[in-house]
Amino acid sequence: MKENETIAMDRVSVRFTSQGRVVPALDDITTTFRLSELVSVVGESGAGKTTLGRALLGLAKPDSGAVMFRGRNIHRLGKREMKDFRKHVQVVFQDPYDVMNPKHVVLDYLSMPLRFISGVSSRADLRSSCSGLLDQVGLEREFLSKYPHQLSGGQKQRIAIARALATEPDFIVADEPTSMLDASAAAGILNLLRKLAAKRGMGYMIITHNMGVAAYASDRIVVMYSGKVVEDSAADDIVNAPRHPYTSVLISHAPLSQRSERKLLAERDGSDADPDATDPWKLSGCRYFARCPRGTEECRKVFPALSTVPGGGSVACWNPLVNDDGSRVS
Amino acid sequence: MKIRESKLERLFRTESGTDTFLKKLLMSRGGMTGLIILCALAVISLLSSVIAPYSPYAIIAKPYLSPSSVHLFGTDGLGRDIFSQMIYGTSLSLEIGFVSAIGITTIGTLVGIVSGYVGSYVDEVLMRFVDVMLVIPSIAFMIFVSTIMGPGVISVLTVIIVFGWPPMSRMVRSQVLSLKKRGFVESAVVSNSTKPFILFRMILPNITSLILANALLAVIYAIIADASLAFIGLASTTSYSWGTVLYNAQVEGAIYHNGILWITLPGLAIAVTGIAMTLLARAFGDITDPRYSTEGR
Amino acid sequence: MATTIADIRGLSVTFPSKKGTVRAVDAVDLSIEEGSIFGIAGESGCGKTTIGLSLLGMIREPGSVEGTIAVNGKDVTSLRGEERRLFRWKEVSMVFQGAMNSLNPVSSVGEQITEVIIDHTGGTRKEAMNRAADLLRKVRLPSDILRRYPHQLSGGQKQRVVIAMAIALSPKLIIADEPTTALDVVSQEHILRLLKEVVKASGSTVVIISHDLSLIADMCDRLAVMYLGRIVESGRAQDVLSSPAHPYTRALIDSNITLDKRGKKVESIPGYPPSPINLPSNCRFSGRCPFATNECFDSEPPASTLEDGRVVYCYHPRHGNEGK
Ligand SMILES: Nc1ncnc2c1ncn2[C@@H]1O[C@H](COP(=O)(O)OP(=O)(O)O)[C@@H](O)[C@H]1O
Ligand SMILES: Nc1ncnc2c1ncn2[C@@H]1O[C@H](COP(=O)(O)OP(=O)(O)O)[C@@H](O)[C@H]1O
Ligand SMILES: [Mg+2]
Ligand SMILES: [Mg+2]
Repeated sequence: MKENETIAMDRVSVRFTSQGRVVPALDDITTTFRLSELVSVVGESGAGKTTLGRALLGLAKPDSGAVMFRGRNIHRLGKREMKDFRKHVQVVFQDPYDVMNPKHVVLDYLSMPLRFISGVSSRADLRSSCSGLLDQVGLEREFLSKYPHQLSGGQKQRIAIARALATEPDFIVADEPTSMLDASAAAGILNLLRKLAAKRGMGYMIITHNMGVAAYASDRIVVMYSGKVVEDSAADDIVNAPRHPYTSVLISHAPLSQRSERKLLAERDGSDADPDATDPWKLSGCRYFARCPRGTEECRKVFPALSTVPGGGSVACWNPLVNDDGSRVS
Repeated sequence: MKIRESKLERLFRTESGTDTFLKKLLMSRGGMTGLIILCALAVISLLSSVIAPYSPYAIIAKPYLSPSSVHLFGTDGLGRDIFSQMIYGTSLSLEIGFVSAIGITTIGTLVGIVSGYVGSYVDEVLMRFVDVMLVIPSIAFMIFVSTIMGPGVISVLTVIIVFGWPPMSRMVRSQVLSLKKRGFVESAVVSNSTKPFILFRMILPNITSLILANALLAVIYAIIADASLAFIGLASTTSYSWGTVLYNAQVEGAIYHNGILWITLPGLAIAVTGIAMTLLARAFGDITDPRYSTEGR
Repeated sequence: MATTIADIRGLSVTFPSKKGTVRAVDAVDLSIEEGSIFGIAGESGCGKTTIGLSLLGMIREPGSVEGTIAVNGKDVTSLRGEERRLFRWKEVSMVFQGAMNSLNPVSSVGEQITEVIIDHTGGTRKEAMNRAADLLRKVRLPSDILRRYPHQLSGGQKQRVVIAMAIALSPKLIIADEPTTALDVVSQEHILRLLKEVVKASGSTVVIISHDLSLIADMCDRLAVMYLGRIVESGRAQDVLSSPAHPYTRALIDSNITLDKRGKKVESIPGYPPSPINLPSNCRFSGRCPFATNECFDSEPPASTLEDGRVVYCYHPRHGNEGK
């Protein structure tokens, strides 16, 4: 039974056409998320993180492959089953400033899932359920009658989380839940998500460009680059022993609490160079080749498949930073 | 694209202020001016039979009289009072303007919303149709209508509405499309909201001010179109609009008979109405601009 | 002793609003050394941008400015007309918050940079174009970017273009308002390094404004932490970051989620800042401060100077640093 509690991507590709060329925002992704899992998806902007989240939610339709919820293709669900899916898998969108209809108050916003999924209809019931939700995210019930322009970014983000919690979902996808917020508000939001996960046994996927956020909030980290998953491992491994060269760049760029002379890997990382020269879509081999200090002829020609490595986790790299026996490459 | 969105953003601010829309309108100088002109025109058309000294059809004096205290704007080629024709014309012109605007807005909004919201092949079909409408030579169609239906107010309205709604539907469609991608609409989608809910509670409220502003501009479009239709003989000969007065001035050779006022007045009336509508439409936009909102973070 | 490029004394900036007067900046003193990198940090809404705009003499009606602002020896508040126009961009320039997203979408990067140059120097298009190519090299962009349009650039590239515009007339003082917000961590670092290079290469002074204290602390020489229109602590960045004296600074640093916080609990600052309308006359942070005493609730703490030269507005500086 428990194994079935998953949301899985089976060879999913999502392509967009922009300026006359096809951008594979997701390229042949196969991966499984347990509903109780605390996972982060990390990568720089344009890596395809948002598209991955949207595909999981059925908001971006795969051009090929399928997204399976408890073993069923989410694009083949009937009305009732879709409702069930929406009940169990919820989302917090990237931009808290845009999630509420400017003409609606918080009560209207929080009522939506209760009305359309949980079937609550009486005004009094909606009101009391919504104040309960506000309470869960640490806001007072006075907020029910506020319009979005009367709320700060952090408050909006909390309300967006409250909406996602309304149906007591098993899994929440949160797209950059902290990138628009002050540090303090960001910590508040992540703590809230962690607390709710611990209390309710809920899982979540946090999409972020900040490895610090991912390390703080999750047990598993999926690293994406140009529509591909390049590394997928336990958070501890990613932080302490990154195997993909790109993962190590992200780690080296993550903020630290003390002033430090960081090793500026970026210097030879090549991400500073003209993107045309490092344009991942022009490469037939590893997407990261043009920026990679460890690239070889093999990397240029053939894309390395994501494969499991000794010690757990998987990496898509011909020359990972960890040897077969698990020791670090010097 | 960018510009359109920021325009939208402006519209989002309306409801939030504590002031009512009307109060804000009255507080803006342009909106106030537009409203006063519009009210004045409305009073004139409602009281036309009281204000106009003569019937517009009655032959009451010699033809081609110069303006005098008896006939303020003189008389036409048959000896009818032009001032009275202008007063009665106000009524018909405004009627044509508003009825057409309602028609244009209703059809344009409906098609735009259906096209943008339903999408896929429905959108394809509707938008191809709009494209066709936009390239049809309107003159040919007008002549066609006038032969079939004969001249008259109904023909005029038909032609104006048929050619007026396609641009409106395009505008509405693009707004709907960009709204559909907004976070709050997607929030409703993932909340499993019904389609009518999304349409009527999420999308429509956020395009109403834009639709209203465009409806105001459609009024003046219709009044101008009516005047032009007179020249291809589609206007009613039995009732007077500003367009008919202008047309008569032209065919009866006002220019050779000291009829400067006769020629310029209908144009002036149309221009003043146009200014009023533009001021009002602009005020709509400004009111909803966050820069004018005193609160907000 | 380095010379002072910008000196602010008793600066208050107020904006009228329906509910009362907003005191965006309240009695702020600042002095910025020539050739240094100065940071201003604090939660959003604390008045950072307003200080930046004040330095450019850009507070617009109905906002009103009190106090003195001297930049490069000039009294900013008394500049008018042409003099003020030349002062901006030539002596002080600003990378405005979100400017990278308000580049004109219908003209090329080259057109937009040359426009700024021609507008202020009156040279020919050709000279301006050469200068623009030069600038792009300085911000490490390939010269073919000149022909591209904003939508063809990544966020980091757009921010570089905006920085190129800000340094176009080699100003003495460059203010960068939230230059890295909305960029991913990799681009953030590149932009910060670029600003550092600019200072080194041209000897100009940079003021970096950010809500992210630890991000800027890494590269600033000195910094000021603001809370609700006031500076609560200012001093050498190194000192502030390693041993924050004001409880707010401490909380701000602690609330930052960093890589080394894995497995630990990061505390957010409880509550929200009070409204900048009708400011209290006690310590503004007292309501959220874990160390507040009666004194703090009663009256505003005066400035105190620590051994390392830091200025702190707190009755209990260094409180909560024990065990650190
Ligand atoms: N609606 C869209 N139309 C065209 N291209 C898109 C669209 N959405 C995303 N893309 C492209 O797909 C790629 C991945 O985007 P996204 O998933 O948003 O990345 P991330 O969230 O990691 O920044 C980018 O190159 C982006 O430009
Ligand atoms: N033009 C203005 N009119 C009214 N209030 C303003 C204006 N500019 C800024 N404020 C207010 O002043 C305070 C400080 O704003 P700002 O300097 O932009 O803060 P920061 O840049 O630190 O986020 C905020 O409360 C803001 O609402
Ligand atoms: Mg994204
Ligand atoms: Mg600011």
